[in-house]
Amino acid sequence: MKQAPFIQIDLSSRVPAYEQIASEIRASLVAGDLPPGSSLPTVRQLATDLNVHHNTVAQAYRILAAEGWLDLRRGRGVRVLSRSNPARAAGNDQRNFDLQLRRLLAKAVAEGVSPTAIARQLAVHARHVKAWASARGD
Amino acid sequence: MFAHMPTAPAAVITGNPVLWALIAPFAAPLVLIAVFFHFLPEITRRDIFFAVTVDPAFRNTRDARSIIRRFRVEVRIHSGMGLAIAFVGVAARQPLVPLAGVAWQTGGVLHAFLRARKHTMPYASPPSARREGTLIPRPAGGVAHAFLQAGPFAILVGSALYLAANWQRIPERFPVHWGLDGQPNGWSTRSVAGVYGPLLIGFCLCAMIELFSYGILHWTRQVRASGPGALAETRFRRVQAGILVALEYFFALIFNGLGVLRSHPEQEPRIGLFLLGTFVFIFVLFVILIRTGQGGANLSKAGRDLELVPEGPIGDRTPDQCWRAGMFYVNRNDPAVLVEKRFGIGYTLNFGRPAAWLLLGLILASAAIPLVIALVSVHAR
Repeated sequence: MKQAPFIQIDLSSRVPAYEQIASEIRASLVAGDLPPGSSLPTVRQLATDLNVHHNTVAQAYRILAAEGWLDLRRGRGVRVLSRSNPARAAGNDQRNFDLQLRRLLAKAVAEGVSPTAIARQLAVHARHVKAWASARGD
Repeated sequence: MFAHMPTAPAAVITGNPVLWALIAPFAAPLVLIAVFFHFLPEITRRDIFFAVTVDPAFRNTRDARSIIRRFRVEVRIHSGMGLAIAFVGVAARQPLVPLAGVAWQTGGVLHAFLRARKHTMPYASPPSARREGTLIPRPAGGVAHAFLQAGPFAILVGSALYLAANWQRIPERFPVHWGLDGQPNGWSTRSVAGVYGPLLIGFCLCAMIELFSYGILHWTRQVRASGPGALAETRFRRVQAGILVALEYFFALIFNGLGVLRSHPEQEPRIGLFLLGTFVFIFVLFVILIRTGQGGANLSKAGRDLELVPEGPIGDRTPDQCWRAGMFYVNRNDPAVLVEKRFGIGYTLNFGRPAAWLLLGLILASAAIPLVIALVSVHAR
């Protein structure tokens, strides 16, 4: 049986749980694990599975809905949208992304992750992003 | 039930088949309970030990084996005592004494469990703060599933229609309750409450079980969302829901049988067959539960193997301090209404949630309805 897409969060992390949930779901969306039209679990179900408050999951869903990933219309559940291409990132956003990536890479190296492994994972994620972008004709 | 028992000194009880037949209804559950408790440490998740979250490797240590050994000795002693009391009670024709045997065993094994839990407490390990959640909704049952669930209710409605069509065949007064010896000890009259009351009881019972079956499939926590453990857990939930549906059919058939007996007063109730069927049903249930293990722990190799994760044990993702006596879960910060049991197999209510109290109220109401109907329609003479 195929493994269903799933997310992992760490409640001991300093990153708020809703941000972790939003980031994990976003990663699955970009990787193509959740194609447009597919349904996500209800707020109640995901909150129960993660043992977090309903509002935490609801906030994560709202963030993704504001980014154009999800449709949260009442009575229809949570649906993945065919997201239109976002406007090109502003200069500040691009610099912020570079900064975050550099920090993350430095932390990984400091924690002993081998540069080969880092390069391999970056290549995997880059492939996912390219596939996602080409599927939308970007 | 004891009024028709032949007088026989206890010394010749071993040669008396009637006495054995009377002891069996008490001995069988006592033996089943003893077997179940013997296997109790083997059927929990590997990182839950006597309702305490521990490192999965703990159960292979000398201390853990010692706790299990002591627990099993106590279970054997209390079960043996319970059996002896039940045996003496039947031989002495004292109907309450065998029940005291059952109470002795129940109290004894509970005490043994609490002692084992107390001895495990010093080895408790903080559970992992990492959580997993699957990103697909729980599947809704298909048409076949809906038909399966409707079956018990269709049986009861069919029985009601049959009784309405054969109303004139129902005697003015008919037995509705029998002792273990097959002798009636409760009667009812040909009235709407008397005839349809038991079917209504069956309907309420099945509706209650149906609600729990739905709850298990849709309101419970998926502890592991990845790996073979996740698949085993999904199978476990389906098995649990399936057992409840089987229980609905069991009750529906019993109440259907009672209905048929009303319109065929010449037929004797087959108490022996009923008891044998009940025992076989419970025995099969025990075997299934032991083979699946809590949360599907025994269903996959991954579940049986030690799951060592650097962040600590996963357990059932509920904090130890929210478990009262390892049996009752009270956590108002946990959104789950139904959580995995730590004592036995299956799911229990989170008493920290208002919805759990609502469910408990429904259970009590479904128990009260039969009592009211029995008071209205059943007479001892």
